Amino acid sequence: MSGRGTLACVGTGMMLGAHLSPRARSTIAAADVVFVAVSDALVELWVQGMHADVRSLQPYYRDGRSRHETYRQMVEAVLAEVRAGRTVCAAFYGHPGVFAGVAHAAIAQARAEGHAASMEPGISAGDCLYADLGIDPGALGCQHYEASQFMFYRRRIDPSAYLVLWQVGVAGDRSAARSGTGPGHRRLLLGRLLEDYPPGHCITLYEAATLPITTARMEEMPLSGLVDADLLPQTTLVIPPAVALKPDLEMLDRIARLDRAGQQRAATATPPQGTPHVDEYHPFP
Amino acid sequence: MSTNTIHFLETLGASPASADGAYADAVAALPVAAEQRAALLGRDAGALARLLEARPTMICMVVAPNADVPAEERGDDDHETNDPPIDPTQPHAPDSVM
Repeated sequence: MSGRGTLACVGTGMMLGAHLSPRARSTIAAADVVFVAVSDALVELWVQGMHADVRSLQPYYRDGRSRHETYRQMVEAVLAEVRAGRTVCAAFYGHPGVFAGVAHAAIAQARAEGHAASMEPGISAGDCLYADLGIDPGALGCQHYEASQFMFYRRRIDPSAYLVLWQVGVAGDRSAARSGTGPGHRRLLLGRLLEDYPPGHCITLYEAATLPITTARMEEMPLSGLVDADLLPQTTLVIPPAVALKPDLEMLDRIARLDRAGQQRAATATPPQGTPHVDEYHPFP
Repeated sequence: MSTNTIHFLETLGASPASADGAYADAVAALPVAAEQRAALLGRDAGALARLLEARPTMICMVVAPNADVPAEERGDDDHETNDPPIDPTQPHAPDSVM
């Protein structure tokens, strides 16, 4: 069988049983073959119970192998079935496209080859983080970066917003082949963060719960404690704002002048005969 | 049977948190082996995974930074610590993940 296959990438969410959307579940059930890349072995068993042909992508990870190569092989494994004309579902933990590149790459490749491909959103670790830590990213803003990328490139950090660094457990790994980096790399990361935050600034190490019998990790410590902290590949570093929002006085003045000009135009405008006057700034007297 | 345990976890995940007593009663009523029941009562995810013969090691990283900067060398460039490479053959208990 060959020809036009289809690919749907879905997210299982973070917790077994809690976050799988109806669309994701039905997409899994309706597929000819399902690929799965989840973070918990029991979650993998759960997904395997949803379909007769569920293929784990875990075996593509290899000791010492760059994850860039791993991800390339994962994409090829998925695309091989799509090219064979099958209805393929690839299920990833959390949201399939949030700090997760395999689904995006597979979809792009599938579309480039003329196959229909789509992504269904899922509940990401970041969503769990917001809920567990009581953070509204809209309140003060929230910056998200992959920890190693944050170290490789100069980023403009706003210390009046939240800063979230993902995969901090492998921060600074240029090989993308390690399961963890040590105190040396963390000191470098800490040095970078100390440019914007004091050493005693309270941070949180976060890991979402993946089973209903476990709880999320929400460990607070001073920023200086990062060097010796117990970090796993799944650990996320959450740094709250360190300074208050700084008003942009020049912009506020410009907005005020713009508003006054608009009000003056509204006050002097002559509406067409018979048209009720509407004050755009006070439409409901 | 593993399906009973997984189904129980799925039901638990889909339900609001219940009191410890209700949880213990639900576990007691499960048609599962004694070892699985003990692991559930102890909320021991690692033991449960071993009993259900789940994959011993799970890698939970699906993104790697685009390091276009020149790499001086690949490998261990941290001389102050021994950084462990990925070893999927070593047992790794499931844990809360990203």
